Amino acid sequence: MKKLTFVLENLCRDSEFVEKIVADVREVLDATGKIGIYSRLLEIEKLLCKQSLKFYYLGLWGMPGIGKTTIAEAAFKQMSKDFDASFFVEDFHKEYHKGRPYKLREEHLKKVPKGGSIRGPILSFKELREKKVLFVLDDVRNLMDFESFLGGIEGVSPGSVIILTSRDKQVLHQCQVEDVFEVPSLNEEEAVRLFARTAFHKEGPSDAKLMDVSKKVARYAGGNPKALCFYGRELEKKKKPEEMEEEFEKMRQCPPQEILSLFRSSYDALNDNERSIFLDIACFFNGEPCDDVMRILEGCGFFPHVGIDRLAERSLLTISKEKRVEMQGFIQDAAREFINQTSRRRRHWEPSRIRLLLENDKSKVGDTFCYL
Amino acid sequence: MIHSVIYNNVYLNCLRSIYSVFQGNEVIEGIFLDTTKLTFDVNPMAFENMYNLRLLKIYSTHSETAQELRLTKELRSLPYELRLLHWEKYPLQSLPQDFDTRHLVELNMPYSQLQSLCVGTKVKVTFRENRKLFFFLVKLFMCFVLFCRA
Repeated sequence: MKKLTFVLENLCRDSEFVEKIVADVREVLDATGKIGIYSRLLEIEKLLCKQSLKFYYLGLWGMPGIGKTTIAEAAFKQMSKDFDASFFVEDFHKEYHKGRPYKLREEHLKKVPKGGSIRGPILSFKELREKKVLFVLDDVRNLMDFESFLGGIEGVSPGSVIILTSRDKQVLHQCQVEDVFEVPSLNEEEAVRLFARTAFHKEGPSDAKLMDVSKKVARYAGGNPKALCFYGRELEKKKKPEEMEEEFEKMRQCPPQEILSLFRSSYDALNDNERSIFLDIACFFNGEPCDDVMRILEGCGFFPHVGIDRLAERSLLTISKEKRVEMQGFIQDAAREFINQTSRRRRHWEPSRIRLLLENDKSKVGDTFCYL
Repeated sequence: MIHSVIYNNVYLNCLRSIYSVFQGNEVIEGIFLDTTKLTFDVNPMAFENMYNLRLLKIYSTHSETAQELRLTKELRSLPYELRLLHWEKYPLQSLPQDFDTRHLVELNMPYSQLQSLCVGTKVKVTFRENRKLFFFLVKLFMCFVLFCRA
């Protein structure tokens, strides 16, 4: 039996405090469940309650692997019984571009559970007039797809909800969502717990050394659940903390395919200008004051005011409260790996390689002659 | 003897630039070197073919164990496209003679031996003006000759 302790902070309102208790208790009861999911669900419920009389669009935004899909799924599971018709499209972008955009809609409409006021299979949105519907589209990447998929949906009853998830905030705004919920990353305690669960199959690291390693991984992965689970699984086989650290260092130097593929599509979607800014920040300016970085990049002929904002909207970096440009460790290493994969490297940061470039090597072709 | 030395010089410079093109130096846009754990002699011609170098930073994350890069001879050149030049403990008293600072956005040279900054550009300016004057005189002379012939 686990003991839960709650401290009522001065700044916290009673209602918020009760909500926190409810979220934590639900999480304890659901021992195999996803960490931190109930507190996030609660936030979404609050947003939905406020808008109960409208046809409401809600966007879930966050970096790849942060748990947008998981939360959308949990919300769907919890709420779908309150609606007349509901469906969930997983990997909307991928499904839509498989070459059968119109069929996709039909297929999902067919799956709408019958009962209540709906009889027989539904074939078009027309039949959903006056019905209360809940649609979840997971991973929307552009407005056109969204519009053509949901074209013709009108006259649904107030209280209907469409939830979109996207890694690009701009897309959500284009789709005219009323609220954007930024899926928060796990805090350190949650991150360590998730890592321990996958790596040691326990709720927490058993000794101080393992705790250190766990914290290191948690900080590096920036509370990203997918990355944490991945590192946990990879480090599961290593028993000693030293071995773990060595393996972890190896994965930092040479990020595995699973981590790279998380960011590949975001990276490929960048234009030349944004890509240069992204790579410059990943290689050179991570953690530097935003104004300084902007000035230098502006001098380079990029357009950093727009570019850095776009990168933040694509959740590839963040601007901290102290106005610094910050990129999570594992995104930075993934970006550096993208550079390593190119045949001619434009940016150098490894001392050993730079030494090869700049060192005055007497054995090389004729230095002695050059300065006669 | 002098001829052969000059010939060698030209020839070897040629070889060098071919070598650096082969290495791909001309595509390099940024170099950030942390000198905490290493030091070496910098080749005075190292930046010769880095036409696209925008960002150059030589720094150290731990100042107490920091080492400086050694430069036994003056740098031959620094790239024209440079926007950021940050060189901690720069060992020489001046920057290369013909270093063109017109694109530079930030120049940081903490703990350096640097004494003069503008020398390079001033020299260049005067040189340019002299050259203009020289061409102007040549043109005047040509006009004069043509005029006389007519």
